[in-house]
Amino acid sequence: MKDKSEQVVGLAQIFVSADPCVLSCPSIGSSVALLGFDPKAGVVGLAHALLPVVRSRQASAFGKYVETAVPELLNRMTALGAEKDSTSLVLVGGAVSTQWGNTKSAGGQQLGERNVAKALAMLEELGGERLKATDVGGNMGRTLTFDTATGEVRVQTTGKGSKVVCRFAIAARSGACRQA
Amino acid sequence: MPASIITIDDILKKTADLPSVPAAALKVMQESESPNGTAANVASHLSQDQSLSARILRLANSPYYGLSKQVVSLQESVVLLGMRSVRNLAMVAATYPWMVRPLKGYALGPKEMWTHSFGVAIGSQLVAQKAKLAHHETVFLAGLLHDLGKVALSIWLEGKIAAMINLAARDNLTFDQAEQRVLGYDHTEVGEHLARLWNLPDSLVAPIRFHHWPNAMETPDLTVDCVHIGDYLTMTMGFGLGGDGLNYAFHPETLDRLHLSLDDLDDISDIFVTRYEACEALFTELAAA
Repeated sequence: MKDKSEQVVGLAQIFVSADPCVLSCPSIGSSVALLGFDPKAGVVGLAHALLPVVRSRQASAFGKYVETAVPELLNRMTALGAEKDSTSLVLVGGAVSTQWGNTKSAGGQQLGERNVAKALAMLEELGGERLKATDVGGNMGRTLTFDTATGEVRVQTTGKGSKVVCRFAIAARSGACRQA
Repeated sequence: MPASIITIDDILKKTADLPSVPAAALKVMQESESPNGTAANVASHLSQDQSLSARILRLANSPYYGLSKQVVSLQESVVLLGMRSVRNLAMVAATYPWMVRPLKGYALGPKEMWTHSFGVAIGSQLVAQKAKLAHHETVFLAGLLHDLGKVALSIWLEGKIAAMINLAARDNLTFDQAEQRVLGYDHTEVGEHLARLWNLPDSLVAPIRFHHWPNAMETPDLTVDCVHIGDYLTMTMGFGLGGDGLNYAFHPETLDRLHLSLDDLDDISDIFVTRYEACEALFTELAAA
């Protein structure tokens, strides 16, 4: 049963909060989920992007593209009081098909690889925040969960069970999840 | 060497709750595929199933179609929506009850099979529209039914999923190849047998059988190609991913045959989420009613 304070972040969405939360990001296929957390400020953010580069300039679509979702996530976290020096990030997703043909029309990288590469390039470009952990690639779907009360980032891989990919050191907090 | 002692015939005979489709929906499908099919006959078949009839009328009067006047008769709704749209809705309503069940054999929770199948229906249709194929309504239905075999096969794979995943990883097999190794056949073959049991037309049997290996067909089939790409796109979007994950082969020759590029796939993915959410909400409400 879901915790009452659990916030589900769907495809193409960005969520940020300065309140204690349990975040869940299900159905991560070739898409990427970027989790940001500043334990000092108690600010958390999560973006779930589908495509590497912008194809529509509508502000409502910012969360769909890695290119716009990454800066938007960090800007919204900063607006809530997060600081670059104390913010760490976790990148999850970017699954690919096992066999990928190599004819002229499809010689490029798979979507999952392009999403991960773009996310890493954006983080490099923006600078400052530390990438604390990654769980990317492979050919399985994932669900990411994060509890600000425990600082535990967990990834469930379909058919394979779940694992803790990293743990933030935090002071104990509790309360309801509220989007800023 | 296949380890299975269960044959496909056994599966079709012994599986409790084998998926089925109401007779009225199958008759609507046959009528819509017939060169002599008429709206009057489709309406007549629909009228044999009151529940289905009510849903068609509700769909015809929904904001999705934006018709300027209220539709009160079945025949009128078939004329206004088109025989193939009505057929698709009939099949969505007919398959929904068993597609929302969990499939433990594939590590799919409640509604995940439906999410994947409906996603492939939408995705395949978007591919067909991008390629400017005229028969995109049929492609939708082919996408909806493509994994029919998993529904029948799932119960026979319960408790085996971890071993299947490990076998595939160890021997560098796609998931359907792992099924072949363990059972001697895969979910596409089970689906083909079930589809023939229902007397589905060849245009729908072929995508069920060849959606993972479209190049294995003697004569390439553009509907199969659309479903192959629609399936790939739906997997990349994480819709209804089970223990088989994205562990399948992608065949780029399908793009060549449809005159599409990888960039076109990103275009389709870009509108996929919005289209899926709009259609899924509407069809779920009608199918679950």
